[in-house]
Amino acid sequence: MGYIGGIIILLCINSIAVMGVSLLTGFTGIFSLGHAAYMALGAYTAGILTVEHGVHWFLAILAGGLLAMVVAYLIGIPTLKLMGDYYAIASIGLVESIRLILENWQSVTRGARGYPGIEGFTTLPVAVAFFLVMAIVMVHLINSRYGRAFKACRDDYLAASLLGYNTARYRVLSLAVSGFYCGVAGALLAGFMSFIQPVMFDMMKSTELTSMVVFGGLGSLSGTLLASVIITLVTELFRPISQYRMLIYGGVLVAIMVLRPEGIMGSKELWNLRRKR
Amino acid sequence: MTSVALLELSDVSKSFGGVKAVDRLSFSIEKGETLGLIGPNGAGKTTVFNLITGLYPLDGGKITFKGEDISQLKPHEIIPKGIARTFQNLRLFPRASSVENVMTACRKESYSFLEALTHLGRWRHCEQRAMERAMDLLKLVGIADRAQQAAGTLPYGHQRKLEIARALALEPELLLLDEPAAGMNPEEVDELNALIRRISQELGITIIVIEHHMELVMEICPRIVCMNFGAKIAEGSPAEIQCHPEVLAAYLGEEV
Repeated sequence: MGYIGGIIILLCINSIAVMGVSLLTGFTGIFSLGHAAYMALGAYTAGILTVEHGVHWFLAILAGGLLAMVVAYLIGIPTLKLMGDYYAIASIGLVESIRLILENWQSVTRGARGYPGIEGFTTLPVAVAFFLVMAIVMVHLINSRYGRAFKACRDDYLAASLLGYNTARYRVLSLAVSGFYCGVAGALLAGFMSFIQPVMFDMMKSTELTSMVVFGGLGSLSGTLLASVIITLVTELFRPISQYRMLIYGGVLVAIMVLRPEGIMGSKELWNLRRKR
Repeated sequence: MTSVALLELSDVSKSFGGVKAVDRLSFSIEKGETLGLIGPNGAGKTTVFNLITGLYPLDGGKITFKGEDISQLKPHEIIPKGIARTFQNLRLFPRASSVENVMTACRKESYSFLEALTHLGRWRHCEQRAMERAMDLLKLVGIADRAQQAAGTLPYGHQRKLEIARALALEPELLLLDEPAAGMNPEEVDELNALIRRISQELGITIIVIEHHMELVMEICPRIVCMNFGAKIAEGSPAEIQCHPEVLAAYLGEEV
């Protein structure tokens, strides 16, 4: 598959997860500090289903996404009825709980040492195909009445509810879709690495996802994808200088903050740059 | 023939802490009417709109719309029954274009989640219809040339008109206008006057309008309710209101 191929796969996986977070944070206005939890759910579901139950990898990926979606939905119902940042707080609890469950449920997850021996089903074509399909679906969703509803909830939930929108319902829907995307990304990661470990899905990973969305531009899908490419490449290309690459990673983030505080793209999309003025 | 009131408030009360914002207020409006709601600042006029649209729970009393009790319902349950409103302090979606703002309220053009994800089925047809409808409404309020401009960058008077267009997109039977003329210049007030008449006469929509611009209220509202300290102090025709002693006292202060 080669090194370049590996990086492209990683780019696809990160981009799928970032699209999920972008929908929730960028388009619906809900901050999350725990989306790695949904990736973990997807990864372990796909891993366990393929290794222990001989399920076909494609179904295992979908199952991973669906489980993450169901968990997101269940967490969303109580927390998203409230306005404000309750979900952000709950998401920290979620990501920590999931990590602790994965570390301690030895009989199923094999604990903190990690889960080895997963079939390497995430080949280059699989990763690219998943990315393309999910990107097209996300663009469709945003350019529909649901996208308008999400943005209305983000910009002014009071005005949205006085246009007859049940804002809590749309917030939960956005979270569920977002959970699905991260679940699928996690499942693909499991099939790429062949080995998964609870520490891969900690708060660091969650903040990385949210920071990609913020740096790409809240409310710009192409911007967040661009940010995910830049940040993934920076961390990968400077791998030879090991620990010091985090310095560059930090430097890039600071540079974007200073130069483009509204994110790389603001709330515009790449394909709209020309049309608007 | 007895006419049934479209909207009826009976003994509606609401307090915030010790302040009685609305105090046993009763009035009703019949289909097709245009009612003015006036009163000095802080009289509780906007609170009345907030109570009708379900933003606050009632402390007491009852609100019925088309004979149905809507006192306990939430905004997203009340609005689809046929009530739309604008806001005193504009509540547009500032980053979205004008036409998108109106399309957000075109809720009748509906399609399933699956159709949204795939852009198949009814998606194209519905989106087109919503877009056409939104453009028609922008034309009606006279800002069609600004359709693609971000709502937050429109001149203030245009933003007020855009809010009316957005409210009309809900296809309401009852339209609540909260100070539509605030911040408008005399020319724009004249246009607003004509617009409100068209909404009433051509679209047949019942209107309650809160307004401080007395000339406008007197011209467009055959009947006016005047509030002070949350209670109704007068109700009647513009001529009756203009010389009502309590109204004069409320606005000009009482002689000691």
